[in-house]
Parts: sequence; structure tokens; C-alpha cells
Amino acid sequence: MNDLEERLSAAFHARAEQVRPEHLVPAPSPATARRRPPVLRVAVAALAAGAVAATVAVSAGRAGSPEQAGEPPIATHGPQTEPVVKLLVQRLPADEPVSYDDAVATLSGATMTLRLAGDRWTFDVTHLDRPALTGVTVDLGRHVGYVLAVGPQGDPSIEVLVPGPGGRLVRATWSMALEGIELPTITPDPGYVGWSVWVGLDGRLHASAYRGSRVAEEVYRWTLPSAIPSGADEVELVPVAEPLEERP
Amino acid sequence: MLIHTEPGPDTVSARPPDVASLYAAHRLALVRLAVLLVDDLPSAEDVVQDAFAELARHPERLRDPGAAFGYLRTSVVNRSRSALRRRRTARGYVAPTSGDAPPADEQVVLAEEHATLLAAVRRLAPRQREVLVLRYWSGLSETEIAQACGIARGSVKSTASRALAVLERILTENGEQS
Repeated sequence: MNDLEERLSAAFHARAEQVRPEHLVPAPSPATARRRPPVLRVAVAALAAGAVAATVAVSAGRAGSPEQAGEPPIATHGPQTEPVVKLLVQRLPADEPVSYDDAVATLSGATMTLRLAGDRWTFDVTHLDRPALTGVTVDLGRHVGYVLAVGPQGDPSIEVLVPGPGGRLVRATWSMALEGIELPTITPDPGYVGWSVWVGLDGRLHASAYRGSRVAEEVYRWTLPSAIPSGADEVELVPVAEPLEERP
Repeated sequence: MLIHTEPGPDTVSARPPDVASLYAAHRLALVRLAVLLVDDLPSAEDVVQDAFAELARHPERLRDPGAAFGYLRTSVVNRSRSALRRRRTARGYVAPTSGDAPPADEQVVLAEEHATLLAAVRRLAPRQREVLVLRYWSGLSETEIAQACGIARGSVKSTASRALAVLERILTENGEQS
């Protein structure tokens, strides 16, 4: 090994050793998760004006028994949860598919509105820097990057994972609309590494937070209300039941 | 020569992959590998996270449970390459005001010599960089590097040789004594 090779080896080790275990996002642990029950803060300002006043409801839905809440399985856990999302970006109205790389770049910093039409989801994207790009179609059937579909094939459930803290690729603040019900902007707690929102078989929207891992650790789950109390400017939702245990 | 010691097949269970155990055992080593390939810690964590997520979704792709680490390492190398590719694309779209502060871990001061050399490494082609990292940090054989990078074994030596030559040239241009 010559001098350059020796120096290279030393430099690689110096850089790698900078990465200490304590620098990493903590590995998931239900025990850790229980220490700080998070509250999902929902900004009401973004709600449609026609929202019906109602008491915030948190549905039942216990760990290990998603069927009780009429919810599909989470995407990353189980054989029936083949990754099933393909993200296509369309420049409307030209309808030109662009690459996933473009999609990632586009989603970064964008605000999205999600709609379901048949078996396809469509994101309407508002992006200050690229006003020409107005639509993103999520085609059930494939997986890409940080967007994962959930549920059995054909199930119109979708899960969008937003990495954080630091929100690397997709800004962790976004809005979505479904069947005419506009939902609030959600600002995830920056202490959580993953964030998802999906539609359950019960037709309701649910949110989950993932800490440390997007592999198998859904640590909290909320059910979003279909309406917000009149006059409220913020709604706090407590997690559904206990933190969910790791699934097989 | 410093060589990072990676687990061999004998240290891995022959049972079907237990992703959680693999995650606990190998995450740090894989993040360290990834950080040498993609530079910043957040990207490295994402790359490794995605590699584990893919294994969790498709455990059947791992035909030999004893080869789990090698499978994950190959996945990390491939995903790091993709991350660099995406980064190049994304840079064309990111607004100048969006901020691009270096991650905290990069602010820890490296010895100047190391920093200079790593800066030169970043200018290499991704494949050249991969080969050097796997050779001089992971300490892999040519066969293992070929497998991890998905290239012919004969290409490993030539790629490494060319990479070192390019490094020499970059350092010389920068006035470094190599």
C-alpha cells in the first residue's frame, strides 16, 4: 500500500468514525416511545369553511388489531403489503411524464393536495418555483422513494412517509383533500422521523408517526376528525390507545 | 492500514432474516459506509433506512440469510449512487433561498489532510468512489467489491487504479503533496 492509499484509508476512517451511535436518529423502541406521548396538532385555519362542528373523535384502534378500526395493514409490515405506488409527475396539460428525480425535486418545498379518482390518486402540487407543474399522479401498483401505498392491491389507501427531522426531500407540512372534505395542514412533531396519513377501510383518515425507523415501527396513531369544533383554531389529538407494537 | 471490520457469514444467523436484529446489529456500520458515499449524515441515514425497508418488504429476495449483511451493503451502495444522482437533479430545482446548510456532523472538524483528501474523493466518479471506499474502508476483496458494485471482478482493479490516479492528479492540481 502506497502513501496515498494509507492516507485514503486514514481519511475514510476519520470521517466514518465521526458518525457516532448517538448522532443517529434513535432506534425505535416502544419503551422509548411511551415516555413522551405526542399530541398531533392540527391547524384548523386550513379547514374548509363549511366544516361541521363536532366533538373531536378519536376512534378505537388498537395495536395489532387494525381490522377493528376498519383499517388496512400498514404498508411495510406483512406479505400482503407489496409496495404499490408509482409516482409519476405530469406537467399539465401537456401530460408529459417526467422522471422520479424530477418528482423528488418537485415535491421538495411543494404543497400537495391529494385527490382520489377511481383507483388513482392525484396530487395537485403548488410549487412556487415551478408554477408550470400542477399535477402529480400516484399510480397504485409501484413503490418509489418516500411515497408508499398501503393496503391490499386495489385498496385506495395510501401512506406518505415524510422523512424528518430536517425534512430532507418532502417538506413535512402539507395539505390534502378527499371527497370534498378539505383537511388541515399537518405539521409533524420534528422529533419523529416518519409521518404518514392514510385512508382506512372505514373511510376515515388516519395519521401515524414513526420514530427512528421506517422499517417496522409505527409508534403512534391518530384518527383525524372529520370535522373540527366551531371556533377552534387548533385541535389536539391524543394518540389512539397505546403506542403500537412492532408488527410481524 | 486501517480496515473497518465487517461481519462475516459466521456472525449472522442462518435463520430467515430478522430485520429488527439486523437493524440493531448493522445499522451504524452501514450508515458509516453510506456517509462515505453520499457525504452527509441525513442522506446516509435515509439510504440505510431504505435498504432495511426494502429487505423488510421483500425478505424472499435474501436467499441466503447468512448473506444478509452483504445484501444490505450492496443495497446501500446502489442506493447511495441513486441518491447522488437524485441530488444532482434536485439541485437544478432547489430555490437559492431554500438553504443548504451542512449537516451538523460535517461541522466537526476533520484534520485538514483528511478533509482535503475527502474533498478530492467527492470529485471522483461514483463508481470510482465506491470502489475506493469498499477497498480502503471496508477492506473488501476484489470479488466482494465486484459483488457489491455489480461489476466484473476484473473491473475492480482497473477502476481502483484509475481512481487513485485521478486522486493524485486532483491533489497535485490543488498543490497537495501526495
